[in-house]
Amino acid sequence: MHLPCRTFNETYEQDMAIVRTRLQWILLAAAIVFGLCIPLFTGTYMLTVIITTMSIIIAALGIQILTGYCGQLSVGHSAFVAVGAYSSALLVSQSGLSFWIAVPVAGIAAGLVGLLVGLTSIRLKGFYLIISTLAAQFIIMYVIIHWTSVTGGSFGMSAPAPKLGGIEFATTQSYFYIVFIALLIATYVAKNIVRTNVGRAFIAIRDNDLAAEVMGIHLTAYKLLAFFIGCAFAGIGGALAAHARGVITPDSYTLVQSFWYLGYIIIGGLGTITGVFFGVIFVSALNNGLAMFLSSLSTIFPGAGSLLAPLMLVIFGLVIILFLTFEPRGLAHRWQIFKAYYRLWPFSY
Amino acid sequence: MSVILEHLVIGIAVGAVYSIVALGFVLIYKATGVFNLAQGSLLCLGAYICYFLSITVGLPFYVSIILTLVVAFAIGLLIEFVFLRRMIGQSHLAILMITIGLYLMLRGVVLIAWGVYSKSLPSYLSAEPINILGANVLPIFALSLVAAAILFAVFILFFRYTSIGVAMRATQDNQQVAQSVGISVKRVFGMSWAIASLTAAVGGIIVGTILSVGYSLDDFGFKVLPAVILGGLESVPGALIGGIILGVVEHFGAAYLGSWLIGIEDVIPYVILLVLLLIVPYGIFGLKRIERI
Repeated sequence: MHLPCRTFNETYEQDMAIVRTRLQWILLAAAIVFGLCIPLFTGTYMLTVIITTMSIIIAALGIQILTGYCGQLSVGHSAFVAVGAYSSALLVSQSGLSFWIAVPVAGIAAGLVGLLVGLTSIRLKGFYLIISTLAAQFIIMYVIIHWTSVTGGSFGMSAPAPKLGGIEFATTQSYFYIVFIALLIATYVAKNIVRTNVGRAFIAIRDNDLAAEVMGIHLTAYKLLAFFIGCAFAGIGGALAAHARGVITPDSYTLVQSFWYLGYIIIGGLGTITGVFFGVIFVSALNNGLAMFLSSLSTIFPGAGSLLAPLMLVIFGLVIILFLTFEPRGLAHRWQIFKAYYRLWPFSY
Repeated sequence: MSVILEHLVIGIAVGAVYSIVALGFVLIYKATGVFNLAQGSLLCLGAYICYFLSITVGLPFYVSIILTLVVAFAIGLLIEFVFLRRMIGQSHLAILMITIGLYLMLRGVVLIAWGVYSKSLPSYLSAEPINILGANVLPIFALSLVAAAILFAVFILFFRYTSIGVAMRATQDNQQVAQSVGISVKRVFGMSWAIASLTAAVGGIIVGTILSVGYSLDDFGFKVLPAVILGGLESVPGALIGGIILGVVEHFGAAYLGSWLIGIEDVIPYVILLVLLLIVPYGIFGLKRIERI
């Protein structure tokens, strides 16, 4: 943590502040105001893309805590997202529960399922854990697809728009604010979880589990806690995305999607909260840029639009490999380098 | 009794297919210590190459099989050289994530090249079931049993008697020591990927004949994981036995539970996998690394 010239930490509060300097306060306020203004000047399509991206960020914060901080690799993340999405949709449309209660409950439900899967992490680590989460992905999705009386099977089910008092958040614009505020809260919570003793215990487990246990960290409890927190984030992200789309089908929660979640945090940088934002926004921009490019190309070559999904798979796979090979610390590390350069310019150090 | 015997024979025949695919995992793990999640993609690619050569180019089927194996061998070498050569010495989890990237890439490549609709290979075997021990089995399953027997015999001997096979085992045990006694670790890595790609192509041709050649064939790689874990990651005979046990259990599950739980055969392998991981993560023949955390 490098501070600008003539700025010194003199109290404990200053040392712990996330937003430390006046410039950072101004930038943060500007970013929030800008965020709140986004619906005023973007079209509905663009806004839908932004809402989806934001809900993915919330879910990816979960896998960042679980994998990036606690080192428990999970390739079943989209199944937990699905659990959140389905439980919230069920609670609202079947039990008639309010959206505002259903979303946190969905988060807890996903967290509990995650806890169940996390039980395997007591005995397994490394790639054995990857395989067990992979098995969990297939088993959870099997249950969702084949429990047709509850989930509607592969036809999916509807997730109605939320209401507050007499207001119905049916338009994309109004729903944007819900997700935006949820994202702010989720980021704040995630950032603070990883700074507390819980987060430091996670990091200790990631770096050396044996040493962590010798230091008195209860491995089982903290690993399970990481699974619960990570999957609860996934559930909330999934629930928000489900109500944005209005209808959910099992196709959106495949193994490939789980790989994407892992890819987001690899690209963004493992073990940083900013990295989640970088990773998801980078991939989302890539995806939508490619979509625009292909649709403009399809006036010349008809059918180019259908190439989007496979081409994106190739590019995404390649980007993951390139980042792992050349910049394993991800975009967040590049951002740190840039900030250091900016702070010191025009001197080299 | 005869019904159970029939299920058993069919299960063993299906299990032979599994064990061929599982062999690919074991070969790469044995030599390089990498767990290759893109094994299913190599299988899928092999099936499509065979389809391309036999249907699109129109070569005779047996020529196209041999050519497929040659191409698959080259693809294995190429993948190792382009994507994995730089990762030698990196942590195994990073390399595992590279294989996840490969999985995504290869699925995209297959979708771009051949589209989403599944294709079928030419019918080179009669559809008439043949009788093995009183059970009616399609000829393809008999063929897969034979193919599995040949492949396993070859590889057990390969790892025991050939110098490259011994070099592979040495490399898996300790890369630095292997290098210091004059083994080219790079060449061992290349060879193991090439051979694994070749076995995946054999599996691809067989699975492509049984089902059909589609992009979702790459999920077959994940379905086989229980066989690999059950047999033990380092063990070639383990892959055979694990594959056959998986095939039998899955077939019995489908036969006796399938009427209540539709599609249960797709999820049985993963349930077995979870149970196995919790009880015997090192498998039947794997090296027991006892580590209590």
